[in-house]
Amino acid sequence: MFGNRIKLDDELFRKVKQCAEAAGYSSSDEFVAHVLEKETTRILGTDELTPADEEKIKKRLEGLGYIE
Amino acid sequence: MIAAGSALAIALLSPLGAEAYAGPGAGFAFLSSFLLLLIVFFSSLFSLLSWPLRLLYRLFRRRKVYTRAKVKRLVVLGLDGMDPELATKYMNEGKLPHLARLRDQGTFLPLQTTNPPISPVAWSTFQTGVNPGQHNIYDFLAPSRSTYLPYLSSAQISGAKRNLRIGKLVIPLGKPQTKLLRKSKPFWNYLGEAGIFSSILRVPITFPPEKFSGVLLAGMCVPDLRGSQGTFSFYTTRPEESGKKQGGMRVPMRREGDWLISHLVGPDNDSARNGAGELRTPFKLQPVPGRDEALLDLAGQKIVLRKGIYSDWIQVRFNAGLGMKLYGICRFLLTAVSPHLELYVTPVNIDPAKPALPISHPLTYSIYLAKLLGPYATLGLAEDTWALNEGILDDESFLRQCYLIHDERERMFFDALDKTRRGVCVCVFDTTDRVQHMFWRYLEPEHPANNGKDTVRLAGTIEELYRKMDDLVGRTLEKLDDNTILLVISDHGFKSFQRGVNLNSWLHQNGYLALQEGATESGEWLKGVDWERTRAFALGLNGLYINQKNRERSGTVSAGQEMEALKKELQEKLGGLRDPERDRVAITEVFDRRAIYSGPYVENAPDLIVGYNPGYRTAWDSVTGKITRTVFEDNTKAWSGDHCIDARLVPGVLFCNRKVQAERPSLVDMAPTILDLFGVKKPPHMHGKIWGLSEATPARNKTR
Amino acid sequence: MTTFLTLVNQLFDLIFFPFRSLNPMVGLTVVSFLTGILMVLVFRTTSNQAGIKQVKERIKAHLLAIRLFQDQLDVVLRTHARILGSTLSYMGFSLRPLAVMFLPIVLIMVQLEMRLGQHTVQPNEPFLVEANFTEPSWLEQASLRLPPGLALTAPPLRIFDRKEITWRVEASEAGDFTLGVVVGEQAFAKTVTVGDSAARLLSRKRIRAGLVNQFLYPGEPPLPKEAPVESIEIKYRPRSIDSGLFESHWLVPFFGLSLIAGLALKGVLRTEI
Repeated sequence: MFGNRIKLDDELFRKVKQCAEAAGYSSSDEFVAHVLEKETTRILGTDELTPADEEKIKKRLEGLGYIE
Repeated sequence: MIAAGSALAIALLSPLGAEAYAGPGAGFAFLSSFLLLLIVFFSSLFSLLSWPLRLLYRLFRRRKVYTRAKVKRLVVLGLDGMDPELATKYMNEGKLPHLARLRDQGTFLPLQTTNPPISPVAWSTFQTGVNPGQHNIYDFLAPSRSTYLPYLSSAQISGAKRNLRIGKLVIPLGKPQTKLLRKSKPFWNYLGEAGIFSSILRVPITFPPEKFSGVLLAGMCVPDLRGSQGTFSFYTTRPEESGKKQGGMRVPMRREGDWLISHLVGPDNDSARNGAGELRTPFKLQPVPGRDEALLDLAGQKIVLRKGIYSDWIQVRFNAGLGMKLYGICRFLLTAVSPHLELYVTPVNIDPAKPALPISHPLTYSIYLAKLLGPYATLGLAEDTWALNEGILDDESFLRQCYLIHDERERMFFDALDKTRRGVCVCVFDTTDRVQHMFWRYLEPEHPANNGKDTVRLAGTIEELYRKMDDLVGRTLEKLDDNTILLVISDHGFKSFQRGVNLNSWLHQNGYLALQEGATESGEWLKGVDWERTRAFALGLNGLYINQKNRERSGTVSAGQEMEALKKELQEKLGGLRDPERDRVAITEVFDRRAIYSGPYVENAPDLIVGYNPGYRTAWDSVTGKITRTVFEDNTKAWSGDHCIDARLVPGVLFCNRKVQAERPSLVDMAPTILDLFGVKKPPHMHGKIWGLSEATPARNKTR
Repeated sequence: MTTFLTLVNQLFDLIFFPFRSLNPMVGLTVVSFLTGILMVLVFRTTSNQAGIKQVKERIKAHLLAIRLFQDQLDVVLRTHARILGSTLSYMGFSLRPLAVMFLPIVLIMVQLEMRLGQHTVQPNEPFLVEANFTEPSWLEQASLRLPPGLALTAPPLRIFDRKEITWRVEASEAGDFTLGVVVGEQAFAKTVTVGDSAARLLSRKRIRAGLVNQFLYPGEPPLPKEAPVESIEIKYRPRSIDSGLFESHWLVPFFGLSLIAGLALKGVLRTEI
């Protein structure tokens, strides 16, 4: 909460608030996080999964009654 | 402490002399209680003295929040999956007196659910007051656009932030990182900001817990200690039948004299590179000759296991190296002794007294509950439906497990009720959902799952379940005063699941999904699909995905016109799809996500949502992305009832001890309504309606 | 009873034998640790371990509750009441082990007092012998018979109100002596130890037969029941033990060390305290 801060100028901040509300986000924070997540993924791409990672991901779903 | 002891001794023993001796044994026993009394005394004093200060602070901060509240306390009893039709039937038969009284003196209405009507989706809407397009939960699982592999939609668990690497060893520093993927904000956060306290127990999709002013124990989708959604273990001396695939984890036992030696399986051993195996804790088992018993020796704890009787929760410790320990709890059940010994062990739950991952807010809340009430199930889907499906547990054992968990939950709930004199208390009970899933076949003599199974002995199970819930409602009402609103709700209703529809097989047969050259079937999770020639695929319970260019890794369908045309085509072909064998409509309607969702996360939703007719559901193989040669098949698993159908056909229930004025009340209305009851303004992003509630309780709550 | 107490004396002689020429703290440490272990074992076998565990957990839960629900005064107050209640039941749980432990602990402490509680008399250092009688009338007839090596240094002091005579005696050499209080025809013996202060048994008082008396003064056989003498006591000087940190009565390090031993070993011995 107090860890990382980013400064925005007032004009942009106002627009962020406006967009967050219009788009149905619960807060400006949520809007900013979502936009940045999408943009960082676009630029950096997603991590390639190793077969071991894939196994791990599948294992996490084990025991979900609806699929077993 | 020793100094205090000595001082105490001198005080007690002077003048010295044999006659005045009081042994140190006395000090020994009294010392800790004496210190405790001191602590209590000072903490009482402190809280009394600081009370006016804190009161002032709170008054200043929240400016008389309760004066704007229309109610002192609100209790939400969530009975997952309680069905309005069954409830009506049993009420009319006079079997549910307390719910009937709520209906007669207050409210009983169907409660509109989410599309799809699945617990993670519905309870997310309940807590945030928004549609799935805003909270981002559409199913238990979601496919990765880049790998087509599924991931758990609600929480992401990754390794510790930093690792210490020494040669081949990788030692994680700190606990794994968890991230909640549900978006938007639960109503209890808004209440907390306004200074209103909430106790939130086991509401689905609350793991990992978020900070707010109140206490919360996470529910559905909390993993077990292995990180899965609940993997049981099965031990037997019976030789393995070749070619028979079995779920859960079958662990071998080795004979050594009178003892059978084996181990419990814990989380992956992250300290070894290349994922070298998992952590283990050994145990020994010694069958008692001539009796249906065995002696369990687990790290020095000796426990007698009796056939058919669950052990208490037993604490298990896994050593993760470098003095790091992970704690879990599990129950043992001896299911057979001769000719072969068979032992079932529940998934190793995260020990609430020493949580390996945060399962509550604050962290101490789960510890508090464990110390007050003893150990309890922490796994999200705690009732082991998988073991029953696999035939490792029988109906009775499964049922006993459900009610053991239910009783734990009741004790927690009544403690939370006792501790929440003002504010909101919410508790979700899963028993209703799990038992209906597994015992629905008893209601329908023609159910394909009945084949070869008992249909008589436990025929009354669901009725008994409803009676028990009614009794719980009765006991809750006794604890409430006139200034408390009680809402008894369910997130969806329940219907039969007789036939499975393999959407992937249908897509394959109709040319929308291609398999690699020469293949007629695929592996799990769409293994063997030729993505370059595939236009659509299904994954999860109701979702259909278009293989879109620049979105999916090997997308083939262009966004825009081609996409729209394909969606329309699929909607038309699948909507009204008939099951030729039964000559019945299997799919009522297929929904375009843009027609039913709005909000920033709609792009993550399945492109189409399939609404089934009662009696139908996505086939077992289809959920896990397996293409077979059949589209329609009988469901023969014990899991014989379901609700993943057309949302309009499975509303939940809404009971209230006051009159609710609302047209077609819906789950999405609950958050704004609760905020309104406590005088908190509805945030603009919530689209639900605020219900009108009659002022006073029409009649006293107490029955005599 | 006498036989039993003699056996206990001999047992403790045996325990202290290896340490007889060392600092008394060594023997005391050993006995304290053994006592600690004994206490834990007794506690484990005689108490309701499950009950203790549960009530302790509950107390911890209540302490957590005070923090979790701090903004709700009524909850906090009720929780305090519950802590008091739980503490009382916790104390209740320790009553039975306490009762069982009481006698053995007194037995140990009596032995330690006899061995570590007082200094022996030194040669050429006057000391007092005090005798108590059943009737004041005996006082006139009573006299002190001293063996060679001991001598009276003052006339006897008779206090009729307290039915008591005090003699001042001095030894000319070290050794174990037996003096006698003579009343008419009968003589009642009492030992005196003069010399070095090693951890050996010093019997301060010989007292008339009786269960409690014998238990508390097992160093010498009791006086006969019908004797006119109630007790004969040598006024040895009380002794301090140097524990290396401070000087004090032996009780202080004993108390501390046995507690430390008990608390340190409760985990190993799997005992809830």
